[in-house]
Amino acid sequence: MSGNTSFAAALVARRDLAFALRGLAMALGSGLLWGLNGVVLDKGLSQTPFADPALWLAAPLAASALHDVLAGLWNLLFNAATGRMREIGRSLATRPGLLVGLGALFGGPLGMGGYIVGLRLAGPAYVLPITSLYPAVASALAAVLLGERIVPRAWLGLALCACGVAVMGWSPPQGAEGSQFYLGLGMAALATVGWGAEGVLSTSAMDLLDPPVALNIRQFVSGAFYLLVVLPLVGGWPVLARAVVSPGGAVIVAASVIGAGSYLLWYRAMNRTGVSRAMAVNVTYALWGVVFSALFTGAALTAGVWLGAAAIVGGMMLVVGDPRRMADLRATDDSPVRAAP
Amino acid sequence: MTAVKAPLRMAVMAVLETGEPLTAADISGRLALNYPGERQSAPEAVEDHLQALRAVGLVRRAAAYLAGERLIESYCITGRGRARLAWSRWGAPAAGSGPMDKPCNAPGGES
Repeated sequence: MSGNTSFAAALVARRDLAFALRGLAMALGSGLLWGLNGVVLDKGLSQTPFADPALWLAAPLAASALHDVLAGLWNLLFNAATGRMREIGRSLATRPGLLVGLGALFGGPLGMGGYIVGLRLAGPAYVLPITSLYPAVASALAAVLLGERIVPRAWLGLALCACGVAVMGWSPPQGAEGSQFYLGLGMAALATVGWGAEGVLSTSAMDLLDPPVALNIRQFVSGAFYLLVVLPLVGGWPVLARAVVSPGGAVIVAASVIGAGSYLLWYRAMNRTGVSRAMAVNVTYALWGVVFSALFTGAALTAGVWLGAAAIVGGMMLVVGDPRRMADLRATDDSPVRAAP
Repeated sequence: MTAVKAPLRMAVMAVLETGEPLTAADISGRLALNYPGERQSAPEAVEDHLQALRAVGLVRRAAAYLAGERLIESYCITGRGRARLAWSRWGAPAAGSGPMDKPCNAPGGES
């Protein structure tokens, strides 16, 4: 009898470990696809109609809208194929559904919009290091709002990840600071908070909602906000109309398929492994982006890239820690696992 | 007029709200009445929902034992789970105020 009990306990531990490891694999897959997505998006943005310098603001926002709306459609097809269609309507009418919608506004228009405008006004040398802090912001919010367990070692790992992303993406500042430079820094800070808040709001909602369904709600809200509010404000509709029948638009369509897969894995990973671990593993996108750039565009792998890669991998390992300790993600008063005969 | 059904993950929690420890197959059987033919209410999908709910402390494993070579696990809702479920419903009473708010017991009183 006691042999059976200990065997059952061992099976339970193995099942919990497998669940956690699948979550980590999803986060890694999400980072890999996001790195590839960045390279493909970059190619699309360098083509007609997005490459026109006069469209510096409208073009990236139109591309972003096209990308997000299409990614939402691909995810909708996934949900239809896996029998989740009816769940979308049911989930919309709940408080967690509302939380996902709020997260969408933080992550889409505020996060991505702030990032794009920040890049334009302040340049990547300043914006990339600021926005690389978003996993740390998300983890701080997750610790406070979700009661997620984050040990000092994990904070060190998050700092290392942020440094790695910053080192990898750093380029020397060019020219004097413009009059809108500080506005650009502010926009980058807004993007950082926006992405962090999206992660925490969505993860909180996914306690009670299926991740692919929550993601679809996020994509619908973000897509609608882009199409109905952002694009009319920046004159993006004509760009979008031109993009639909242009080579650049076709590349964005391809990117949206990759992006949809990345989003899906990211949301599932956050639900399974917690915000801090999922984000720490997801930021490997910076590393994968450089690898794919080197493979497909012949970009050089500089010393800075290797240094940044080492910092990201080291930081990620510190945050993830021992997967066997991932069985219970949150601090709770209820007793955890008990095996009984 | 038909009431809007709850999302499945919330429905899984609602089934556990009675305080009775249940397996994924038990829960799937009860959900089949309200969600007939839906793939997401199959035992395997319910098991996946339970694992995710357990990781964030909304349900806990009440018992785990072997039936032949199969691992059988039963789950209970936690206090935190009750509170989150109550919060998720529009106009729902506060957690702990309902008549169904019983403690969770493992089968055979071995909690």
